[in-house]
Amino acid sequence: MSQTNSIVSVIKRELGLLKQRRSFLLGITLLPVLSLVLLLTMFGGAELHNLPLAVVDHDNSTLSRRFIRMLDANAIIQVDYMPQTVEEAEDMVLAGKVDGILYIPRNMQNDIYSTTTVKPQVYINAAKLLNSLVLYENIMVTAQMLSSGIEMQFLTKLGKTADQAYELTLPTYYEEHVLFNPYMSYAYYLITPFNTIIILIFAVCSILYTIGLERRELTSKEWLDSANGSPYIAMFGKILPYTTFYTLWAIICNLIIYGYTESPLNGSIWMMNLNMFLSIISYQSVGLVVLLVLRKLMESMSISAALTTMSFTMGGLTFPLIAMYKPIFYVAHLFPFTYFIYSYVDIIRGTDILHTLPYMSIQLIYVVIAILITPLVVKLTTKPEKEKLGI
Amino acid sequence: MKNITKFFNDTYISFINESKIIFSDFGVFLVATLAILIYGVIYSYSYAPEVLLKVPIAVVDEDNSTHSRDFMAALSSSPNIKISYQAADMNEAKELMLDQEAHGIIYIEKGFGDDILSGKTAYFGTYGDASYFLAYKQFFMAVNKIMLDMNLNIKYKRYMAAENNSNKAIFLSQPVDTQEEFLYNKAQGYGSFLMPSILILIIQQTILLVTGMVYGKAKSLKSTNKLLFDKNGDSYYAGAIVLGRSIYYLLSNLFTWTIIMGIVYPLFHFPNNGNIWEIFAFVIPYILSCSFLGVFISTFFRHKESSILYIFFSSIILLLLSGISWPHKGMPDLMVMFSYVFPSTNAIIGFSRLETMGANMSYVTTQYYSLIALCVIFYIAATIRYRYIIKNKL
Repeated sequence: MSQTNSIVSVIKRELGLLKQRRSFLLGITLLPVLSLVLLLTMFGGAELHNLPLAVVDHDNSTLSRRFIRMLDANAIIQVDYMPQTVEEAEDMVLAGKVDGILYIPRNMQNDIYSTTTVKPQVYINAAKLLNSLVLYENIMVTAQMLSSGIEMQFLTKLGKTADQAYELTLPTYYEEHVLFNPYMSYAYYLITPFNTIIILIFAVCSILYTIGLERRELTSKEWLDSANGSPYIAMFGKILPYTTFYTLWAIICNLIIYGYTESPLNGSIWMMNLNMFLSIISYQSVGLVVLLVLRKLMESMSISAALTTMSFTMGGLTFPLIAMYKPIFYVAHLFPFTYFIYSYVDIIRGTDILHTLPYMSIQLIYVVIAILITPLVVKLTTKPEKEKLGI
Repeated sequence: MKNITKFFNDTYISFINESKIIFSDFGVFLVATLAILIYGVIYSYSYAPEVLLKVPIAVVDEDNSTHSRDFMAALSSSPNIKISYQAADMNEAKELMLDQEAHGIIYIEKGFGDDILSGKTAYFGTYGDASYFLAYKQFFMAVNKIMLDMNLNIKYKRYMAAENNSNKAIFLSQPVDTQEEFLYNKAQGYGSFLMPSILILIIQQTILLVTGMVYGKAKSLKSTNKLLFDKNGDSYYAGAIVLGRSIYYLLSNLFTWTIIMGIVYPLFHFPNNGNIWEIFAFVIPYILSCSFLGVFISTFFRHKESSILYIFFSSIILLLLSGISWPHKGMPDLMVMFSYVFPSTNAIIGFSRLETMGANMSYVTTQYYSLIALCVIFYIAATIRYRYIIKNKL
């Protein structure tokens, strides 16, 4: 029997096993699809808007009402409540009705007429950090606009033209360029990494499960026989259907995410696909290493799944690696996903491929290790795993 | 009376069975008891620096005037950013950014200082790296603050020169001076924001995993009858099995939760504004609802590994569904409603209010009663399911 024939026979056997394990097959194929649908629906709005704010207006003047109208006109902010006191407003924060409070002090308008600086107070619920930072920024920008408007009125009274007055209120100003994610969308930014982690969990767990069952069901001899005795062919043929499925699924995901939803992508979608493929095989390899070390199916599946979930944090996309303590920083570099993220960010930016490829290929180190230990893993499955319920 | 005695007896036996199965299998014990502690500590330590400081940025100063140098000095004194590179031109700076060496660029064109002197607005460019959301926010907020301070300074000097009245100059430079205060998580720490939700979620996920492992294991060993029938072949009460199995998870998670609140929380300085008794009063129906749900779902697993496949991936989805990082307002209503089926959604919202924000129980009544309702629903569902299994000897 030629090598190709043995590979084909292993694959055929695996597909036959899959046919018998119908609920397993449904789980590992439909759940990743469901996850993507959920992620896309969840982030469907793509941009934050109408974050709820309570305004305590103790001035109740033309000026304070103008301020409130300006806030409401901002798409991010929605003035939902106008309580009488700050305490009442804080109750609303505690009850989850609003994420921030603006307190406008008494005599705001009169103070402005008598050229006294007024100090409105903003309270932000930092327990919901990400929403609140966005809300905070927009309140501050609006307050700044109000302040500049008043300043301009005084300057025009002093005989400046509107243009001159405008320039005088802003001695310096920025031209903001948001690079690589021009919509500043949290959704665009998170869908691919989250979706990848979910694919990786299934890619790892599915192969560990099917390998582990050979051992538990005492079928590993049959498995090896179908590969004509070669552990490499046995492993390759067994994993191939899963790797192929998840790689194809990853490509479809990329086409949907970057084609249909028009998430920003400056680099090539094929680099994105390659990166996901490398990530899939590197995590499958990690899974094999874990299996060899822990020896038991369930332990290795739960530890591999746990490591995969943890990779998201270690990838440093949300809380950046540069901010982490050194020990975690180094540990994070042992996770293949960290290199996936480096490469992912590069591809989103459209960095030169030559800069990206070295990072990306680090993921292959785990594949090399997995190839080296393959005979040991296959041998492990020939030793029966004893199970007792304990009662 | 006899029935009641049998109910308690069956509950006790089911509790003991659950404990024995978990303690006799290290893998299951690991997930049931140690996972939350290991996960809790590793995640907390990863986020322990809390605030992102010294975001590396590059500056391109083509003006090289007093004003541009003052600006750079102000930038370097900010704790949030760090000028790591003084690039010769924009191309060099952009290269640094593409290579992920710098997360922001400040570009000061020639004429910056002259514009300020002649009363025109002097523009500078900010180029922020939005592929790292937090780094971008930090960079932009720091630059914005420095710019506002710089503007105030310049304007104050100008108005002093024109009006020669310090109070009026202060007023004119900024008629409305908005003050800010961040509530509950004063340092705006990332770990303090995220960890309470993660810890709460881990309870649910580990319970769902372990209940599934236990039942799946019994099933794959064809020994579910040991969980359902006594030695004489008489069945236990379905309701007692559900309760007995769940009591194990209640006790075990109360134990680990005490360690979380007593050691992990103080160790990592997470916001601790709640009343400890109220926290436990809130957590109990949460753990119970997770347990009843888990005991119910577990009967559908055929191998002890199956639950891993089904439960792990849902962690990410459920964390997002809780609305902690992406508000419910931005999600379709149907999805938000669906998310309340899982105890974690109500628990994350309620726990964050109680513990992080220091609210009392009256602010979480909706969440509290929802959890109690989930307990009742899942208990009944599980009991019906076990009765069905016993009857049909599945």
